[in-house]
Amino acid sequence: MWIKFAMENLKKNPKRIALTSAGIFIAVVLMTSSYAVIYSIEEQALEPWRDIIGGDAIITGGFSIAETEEGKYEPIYGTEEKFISISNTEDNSKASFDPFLLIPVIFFQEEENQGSITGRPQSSVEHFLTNNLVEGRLPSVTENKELEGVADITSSFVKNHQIKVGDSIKVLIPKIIDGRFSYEQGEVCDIKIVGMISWGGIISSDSVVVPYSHLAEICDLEKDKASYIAIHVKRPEYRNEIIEEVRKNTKYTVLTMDQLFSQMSKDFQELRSFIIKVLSSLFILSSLIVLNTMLVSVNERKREFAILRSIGMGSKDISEIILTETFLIICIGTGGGVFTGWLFISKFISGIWPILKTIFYIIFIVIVMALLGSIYPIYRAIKIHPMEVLKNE
Amino acid sequence: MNNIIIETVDLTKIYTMGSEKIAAVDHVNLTVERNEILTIVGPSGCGKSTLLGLIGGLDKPTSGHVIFEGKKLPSSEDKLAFFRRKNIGFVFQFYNLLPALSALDNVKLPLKLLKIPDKVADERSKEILERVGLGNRFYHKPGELSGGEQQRVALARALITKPVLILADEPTGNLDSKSGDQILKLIQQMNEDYNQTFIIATHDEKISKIADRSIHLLDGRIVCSS
Repeated sequence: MWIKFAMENLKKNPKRIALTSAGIFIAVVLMTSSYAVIYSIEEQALEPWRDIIGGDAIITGGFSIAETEEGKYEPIYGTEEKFISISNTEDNSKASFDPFLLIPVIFFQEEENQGSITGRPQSSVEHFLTNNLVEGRLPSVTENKELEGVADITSSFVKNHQIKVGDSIKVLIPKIIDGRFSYEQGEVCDIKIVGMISWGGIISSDSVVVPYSHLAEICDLEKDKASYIAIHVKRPEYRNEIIEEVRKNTKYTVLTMDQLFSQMSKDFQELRSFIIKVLSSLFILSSLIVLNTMLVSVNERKREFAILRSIGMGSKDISEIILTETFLIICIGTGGGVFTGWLFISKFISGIWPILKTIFYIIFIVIVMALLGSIYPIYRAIKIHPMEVLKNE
Repeated sequence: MNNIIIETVDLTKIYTMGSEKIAAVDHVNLTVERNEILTIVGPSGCGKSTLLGLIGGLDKPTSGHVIFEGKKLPSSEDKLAFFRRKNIGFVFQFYNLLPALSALDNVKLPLKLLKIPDKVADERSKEILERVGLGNRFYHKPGELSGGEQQRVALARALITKPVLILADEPTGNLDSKSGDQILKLIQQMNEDYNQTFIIATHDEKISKIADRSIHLLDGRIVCSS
């Protein structure tokens, strides 16, 4: 009934309501646009970082590491920052190391595919094999060059079949067709296992994935000239353990992803602070518009409130009436404002998108605005003295 | 059961206008019995409306107090509002209907405050509007009704919750003689049918004729009772 009552009251002053709603509309358009712009710019700037380091990270005063022309892995400094990514993900497309699962690599004697891990040069293979050797010998350090191939199998396979150095096993060696592995056309070979390493990483163009247990070793290569180490943790249950391990094994400061982003966000602080000032001014302005409209409305309807009081309406019901009216006025302006704001930013500013989160912020702001704009009018309406008003009629 | 519904004890209301103090109601002691029609008569400004306001809790006395069914009226505004909602029906000279609402919604309003379900409120409101002869005016807004019709809507609104006490301030003061007669007839009927008590402030001698008792006010004091 109060909604119906409020609607009827709003209809009495269509011009005033239209102007108030227009004021709120403009404020909300500006709020939505500026919020979306600042949020989107920030998101766009942070997105590449997320791509590189995934959902979580630590950052240290670490170093860059890259493959040299000679096929060695060395720390690099200068224009381009690269990452050492330490990961426990099982998704090989990004990073494949599971720190709690030993993935041994077995070396075997085979003519083709010589000395490579997914096509990497012999020197880089040596680098990793040397550092990760668990058992046996390395192909490149053998005198008779009898060990020329590598293959990786899972630790569960090794465990289930109780495989050890010296064993002979059959493996399916894939054929490389147009740069891709084809197991269908591959060949089964008998191989002799001559060594095993603890290895589960992949090497991509701009990152190297290593087990964190070897982090200290890598860090020791260049203690003083480090840039970043990023950890990609897809299984959050291991996150703290990995971070702890890294803290233990390195001398670098460990930061969380949030801390990293907050460091990066410093650049945005000035812009954000300006936008917040603009939004706050708009918010105060809108609340004042609402306050003024509702105050005028209460003053004009003193008699009405006096009648309602005389028939027994309490403060709660009067508050409900005024709040309902305020919300209706604000909703008209806000609904249109959010829609137009989004339309505006998505149509005219490319690369910026409306965010669902904005809607919740706007709703929250609207509720606060309605409350602020209603408190004093409600107080005034409750304080109306029915006898005085009705007597003066 | 005590037959006295209202008792005023040394009821006084003083208004301050500049440096002057005016006693609109001056030490009034009055008792009203259940089912009685009492009229308060007197010249303009003698304090009739103020006395009604004090009895109905619309105004607070400067001194003295009002006893309703053996209990003093509460002092907080919200408790007074609740008291009025439950026990009092008001009828004003200028009807005081809400212009934005239809006749039916105006009458329904007190029921909504008592949280009566909409369907029941609707039925009861229609019933009472028919009773006051406005069965064909449910959805008309006050602006579309004559003075007599508006006052009947106001009477229906005052009676809808079946309050024990109706306070009417010049209910016929703004009506032509025919409409005034209709209102008086309705008041009599309601008084007989629902055993409601009416206290009516009036200039109208016709009303005094239907009253069980009249009191005369002058300068805020009861000068005679008949």
